[in-house]
Amino acid sequence: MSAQLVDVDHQAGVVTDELAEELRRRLTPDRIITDETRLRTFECDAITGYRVVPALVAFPETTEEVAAVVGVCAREHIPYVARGAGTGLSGGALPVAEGIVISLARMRKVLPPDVDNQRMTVEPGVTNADISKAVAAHDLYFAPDPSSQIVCTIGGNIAENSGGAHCLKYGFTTNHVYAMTLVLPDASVVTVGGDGIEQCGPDLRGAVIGSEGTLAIATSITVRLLRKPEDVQTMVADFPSAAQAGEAVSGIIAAGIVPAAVEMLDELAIEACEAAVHAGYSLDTAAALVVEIDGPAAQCEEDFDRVQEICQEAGSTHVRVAADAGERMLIWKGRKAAFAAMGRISPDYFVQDGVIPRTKLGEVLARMEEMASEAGLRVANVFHAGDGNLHPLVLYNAATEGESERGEELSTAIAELCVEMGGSITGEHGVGTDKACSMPKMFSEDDLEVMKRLRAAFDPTGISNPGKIFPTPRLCGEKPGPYREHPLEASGQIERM
Amino acid sequence: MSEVTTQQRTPAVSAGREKRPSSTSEAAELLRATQGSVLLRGGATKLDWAGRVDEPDLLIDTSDLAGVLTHNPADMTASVGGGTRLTELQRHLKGDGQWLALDPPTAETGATVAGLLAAGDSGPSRLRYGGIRDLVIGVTLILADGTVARAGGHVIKNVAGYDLAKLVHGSLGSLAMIAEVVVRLHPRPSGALTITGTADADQATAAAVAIAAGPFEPSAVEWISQSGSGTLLVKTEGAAGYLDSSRSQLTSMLDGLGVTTRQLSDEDAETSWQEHAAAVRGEEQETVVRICTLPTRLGGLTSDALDIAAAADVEARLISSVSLGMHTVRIRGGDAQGHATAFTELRERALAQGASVLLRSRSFEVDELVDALGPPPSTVELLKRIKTQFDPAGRFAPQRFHPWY
Amino acid sequence: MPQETARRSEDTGRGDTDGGDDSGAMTAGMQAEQGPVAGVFDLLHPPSGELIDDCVHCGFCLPTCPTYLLEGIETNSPRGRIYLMKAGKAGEVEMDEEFVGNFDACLGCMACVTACPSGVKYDQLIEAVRPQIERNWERTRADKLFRTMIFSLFPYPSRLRAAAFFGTLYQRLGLHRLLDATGLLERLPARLRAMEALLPDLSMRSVVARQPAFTPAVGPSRRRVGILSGCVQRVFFGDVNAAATRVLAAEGCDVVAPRSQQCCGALSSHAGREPEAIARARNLIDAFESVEVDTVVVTVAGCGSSMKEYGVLLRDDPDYADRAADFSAKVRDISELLDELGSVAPRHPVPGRVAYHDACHLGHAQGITAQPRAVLATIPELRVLDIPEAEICCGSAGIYNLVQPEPAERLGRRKVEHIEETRPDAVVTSNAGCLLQIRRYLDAGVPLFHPVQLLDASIRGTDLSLISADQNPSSTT
Ligand SMILES: Cc1cc2nc3c(=O)[nH]c(=O)nc-3n(C[C@H](O)[C@H](O)[C@H](O)COP(=O)(O)OP(=O)(O)OC[C@H]3O[C@@H](n4cnc5c(N)ncnc54)[C@H](O)[C@@H]3O)c2cc1C
Ligand SMILES: Cc1cc2nc3c(=O)[nH]c(=O)nc-3n(C[C@H](O)[C@H](O)[C@H](O)COP(=O)(O)OP(=O)(O)OC[C@H]3O[C@@H](n4cnc5c(N)ncnc54)[C@H](O)[C@@H]3O)c2cc1C
Ligand code: SF4
Ligand code: SF4
Repeated sequence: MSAQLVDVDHQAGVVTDELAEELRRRLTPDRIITDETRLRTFECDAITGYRVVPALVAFPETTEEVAAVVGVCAREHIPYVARGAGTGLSGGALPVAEGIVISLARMRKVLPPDVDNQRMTVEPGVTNADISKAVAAHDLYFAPDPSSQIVCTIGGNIAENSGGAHCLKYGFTTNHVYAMTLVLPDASVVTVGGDGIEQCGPDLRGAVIGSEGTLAIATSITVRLLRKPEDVQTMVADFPSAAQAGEAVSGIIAAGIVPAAVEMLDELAIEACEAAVHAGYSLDTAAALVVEIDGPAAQCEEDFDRVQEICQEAGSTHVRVAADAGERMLIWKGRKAAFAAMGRISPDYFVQDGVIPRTKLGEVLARMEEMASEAGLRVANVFHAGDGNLHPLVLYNAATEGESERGEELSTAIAELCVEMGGSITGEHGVGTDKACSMPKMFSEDDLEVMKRLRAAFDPTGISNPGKIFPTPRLCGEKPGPYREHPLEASGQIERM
Repeated sequence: MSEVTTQQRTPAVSAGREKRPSSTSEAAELLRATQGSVLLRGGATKLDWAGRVDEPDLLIDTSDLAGVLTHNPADMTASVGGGTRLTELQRHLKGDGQWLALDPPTAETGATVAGLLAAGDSGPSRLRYGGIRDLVIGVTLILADGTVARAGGHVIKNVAGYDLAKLVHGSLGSLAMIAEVVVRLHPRPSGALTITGTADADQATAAAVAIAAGPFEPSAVEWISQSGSGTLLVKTEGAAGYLDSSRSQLTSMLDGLGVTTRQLSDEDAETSWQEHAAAVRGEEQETVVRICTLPTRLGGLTSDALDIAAAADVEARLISSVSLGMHTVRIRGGDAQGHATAFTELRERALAQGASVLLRSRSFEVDELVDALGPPPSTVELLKRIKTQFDPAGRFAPQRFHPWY
Repeated sequence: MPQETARRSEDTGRGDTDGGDDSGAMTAGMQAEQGPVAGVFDLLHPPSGELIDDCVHCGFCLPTCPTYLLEGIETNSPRGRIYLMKAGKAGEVEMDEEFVGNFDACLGCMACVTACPSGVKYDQLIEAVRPQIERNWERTRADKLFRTMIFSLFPYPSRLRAAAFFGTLYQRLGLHRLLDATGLLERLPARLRAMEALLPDLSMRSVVARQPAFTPAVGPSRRRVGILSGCVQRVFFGDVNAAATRVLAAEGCDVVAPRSQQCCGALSSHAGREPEAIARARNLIDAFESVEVDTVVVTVAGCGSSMKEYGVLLRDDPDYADRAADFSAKVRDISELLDELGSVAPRHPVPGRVAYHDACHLGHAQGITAQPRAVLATIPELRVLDIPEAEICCGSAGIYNLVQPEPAERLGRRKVEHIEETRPDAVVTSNAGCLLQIRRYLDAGVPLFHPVQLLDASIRGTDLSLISADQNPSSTT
């Protein structure tokens, strides 16, 4: 195996006072942080369970400044981690001890949109929602819509290949980026993608998107903008059981309809959302499906009627159709507040992001319920039912002896259940620190080794966000769990050597 | 779960240089057991794209790595052997009212799924469904040293690990062999409407912009140049009610741009689209170039192409996916020198304006006269390092991206 | 445990307790120099661990926080501040310049409270931290002096009136003299310029205006309301209270303005000067109890939000705890009350486009966004426009524009840019501070009003033309 990954631990440099001074000169003094108090606030992202205080945080404002900071890191072998808004749910922006955090939060320029060609170039610190806001007057929008869109940055979206409720029809970040300026770990600046939709040679833009900040830092991004659909119809259908809601989802898909979004919330999740947003979800139902159909009016109408019929056939007890844009926004506000609102019903929670084949929904939900009751914990479910992306929220109280450990175990067991079902450990939050140890459950040593070759090509010395994605002995113990045959392999449907 | 046995074709018998492995493990074993350069061949529809690979030590034909391995209609996913022909996969899916939403021009001539991915080829419907890069959810790759690696998976949403399918997209067999491909499927549209009319490049651009701004979800907006003008083809798919309203809206909208349109009957539409695909493929002895630009650059590109061709005593025809800014330029007539001059100048002009250019087919004579790849991109050093990591001995398609890597 | 700073005596018993229960012996205002500590905090109501733990670190509050918007620095965000409270409480960071600076920089605009899906009560957290800083952190001399000056001027109508009367003289001489004499530090000039820029020219009429103690309802009385005259308000905005009184009377309220009332203490409380705030709260409660009203109506958002918190502020005061809670329950913003009462007085048209600016202390702190719009909607021919980025503070925030002039100015300009995008004939807002801040950067031709002034004009049928710049009330002083 030719991958030459140098373990950064062995030769990492140190952030000395002189080095901090050098960076202060290259940027400006107020854009370098080294005091312990402020550094503390950069020690984690939205997953507070993983915390490492960095040695320095830099706030570059241009591509050249990013390259300057990376250049110093490359010269001194200092590991660095890019940071957007720090809303990552996998510990992707977790700093490296004694390393540097490169915050892109001050790179927030939005260039004027090219309306006819439906694209716009922005800096990485621009929030997902601000992209759409900037072009709303032209009836355009940026399609990937993570629930965190009001705060998460396009840089973070690129790193995680984020998606949202509407990616069932419209795809993920990777489907909506035309070009990027990247600062590579050797501080060189390159462009991937371009005006043209196809490039000559390997699709490096696609390879970098979703690489969790381990391959490059994006400093300028040209995104694809979509025209707002002519018509949007949204409904919330209540079901007496999650299984019936699952049947409705299968029915919709089988009918050849591709909804813009199909989301499911269970009773606990509804309770939390309602406490936060008062979006009018029924509190006395076991499960609710949010279905949105969009597109040309005539098509939309036909599909929407059919979806309502299917829901009724599957046993829906109540269907609420959003009367206008205001009501639709409220329904989505409720849905999108789901994770963040968990604080209302539980002091602590773990969120999982596993994906299963849509058809396994009923089975997995039932298994999860069993597992939860065995562990004596509650699990709230809110997920992208249309594409099988589950977000089980394992609720626990860290103050109660042992609950945190049980919660973590349950959470990991659920993720691994998804793999067992032929799915994935992560649909949109990324592997980061959090799921690195589960990677061997999904990929063989060879799979990971080949991925590492790509990393080695971009970052031969391993200074760009080290310790993420790939299991390391330090994080996972000497022996990460053994790779188990993928169930499709076991059944002979797919083949491995 | 429906299953299909691997399609059996005549086993490779030609001694020595040509091999036809029938499984991933066999292919891996073959690579492990051999040394020297390797050319991967799927449907042989685009073996000459980019740099031409001369006399490989080993030619691996993928036609036996074929067949639909899994297809779960309810999950709308399928996995296939890389050598599966697209037409075969579509036939298999048709029964369930599904399809892999790709209509590349090379489908009819036998393009394989892996070949399409390696070439990054796509057709007019990329406008609605995305290209093959957007439809592949998992791959199994075999590296030059025989290492087998999977990336992605069998679910439509998945961000675990690097997206190696993207890396091999457009790599034209230069980084790894694609042994298996997992794709996401779409329901077959219940109906389709194709309208056509005469339009020049500027009208076509205006039409594309207007259609994009309108209440449609178009599946194709194509333009084929003809001397002095051109033909516009617009396709949209969906339910009868939507098609009805689209017909009248599109007609009056295009009318307003001075484009008189008519609707094609289903058979005529079928024929038109087949002719369109054939036009994109080009003919023997032509030099075919793929140029991608901002969609609104169609007019400029067209006049550039025509001017440059005239000066070089050759003829240029364009077939454009207008809304996508994806153009096929066919250089025909004249002599090899004329082709070479026209191609080189057109590339220079296009690159200067931010376009990307890929030389597709051309004659051996033209090859002698042109630099197939042109100036290297800013990522050239990175590409070299990737090549070194994936294929340190430089086995796969050695001249494909020469001199970049 | 961090290094002990010279500012605080030895740690004698830092536990994980909030100290809420075992601080009975301490009374408000008592210095905690010798007391036990919770990390960097003393035990007199340190920020509650429970409230801190409500924060799930999701970051949803970041984009609405003006200081994060300006700096892009995590520390200067609600999430960062809460994180530091937690670290501070655990004794993992020191109360040092960065720590204090970060809380001083908080505008107290409470946009984060509105934005937080988890219902984190940042308002209570920051109000707990500020007095801690005032007690446990030694400010520089210049900083102290400047703050003292503000607080010895603004809350006192008589002093303000005198200062205002000698307007220019005071600004040009008095202030300069005072500051020059004390030889203040580099930081001050910016602050000083800010203060000068804020001091308005005053009309004699509003300087001498005093409110009648009792104004009877027009027609049958529907309610007996007390009105807060305020301090700064009383001096500079006499005409708003006059308008409010007329509108209330027209809508069937007996309006009482107790003579004994003084400043509500809002500025002090928002700045962490707790003992001062407590004393003022007690006085105000006394004043309104003496006149027995059903409702206490306020025209200044900042005052209203503080008065609604008296119950919390005086929770440890056995004599006042219950009375404060009762008092707080009676407090209403004028728009809240008018919306609740429903209109009876007929309206005349006031044609024009007005941009409504949500004052933070109304929208975020009190959750009042619909009522002012509803009240304005009763005026025929008046079109109320929403301002983009409405949730972001204008940078006024109590004394913020005085103590943090640079960020305040950037926020002010940003706000005014957004206001101008709506091309309004006039701007309407319910807080004097906002008004002052917006006025500084807004095109002088665009007048500013309190909603109640427009209502007053509409009810009285005064010929108030928004569209003509000639009758711009802010330029006729
Ligand atoms: C309440 C909540 C709901 C969420 N909902 C969703 C959801 O619906 N869908 C979804 O996909 N995600 C969701 N997320 C996860 C998270 O918001 C996304 O992963 C988001 O893309 C992270 O963006 P960020 O700016 O916060 O990045 P950060 O957390 O700061 O960083 C994430 C990763 O990106 C890297 N990075 C940041 N900027 C750059 C750059 N310019 N170049 C290269 N690498 C960079 C970092 O190094 C890190 O590895 C949610 C999070 C929360 C807290
Ligand atoms: C340093 C400093 C700090 C201050 N801090 C505060 C503070 O924190 N809280 C506070 O209440 N005051 C505060 N004030 C006082 C007050 O805000 C200003 O004096 C007032 O804005 C005068 O501005 P102007 O010159 O625009 O006056 P004017 O021209 O009299 O008024 C401007 C416009 O506002 C309208 N208006 C009058 N009163 C109000 C009102 N109450 N609400 C809305 N619109 C009104 C007027 O009709 C007019 O259209 C402070 C003043 C100074 C000097
Ligand atoms: S009160 Fe305002 S300034 Fe302070 S943290 Fe909250 S949003 Fe930021
Ligand atoms: S929005 Fe609320 S829970 Fe989320 S970080 Fe801010 S304060 Fe904490």
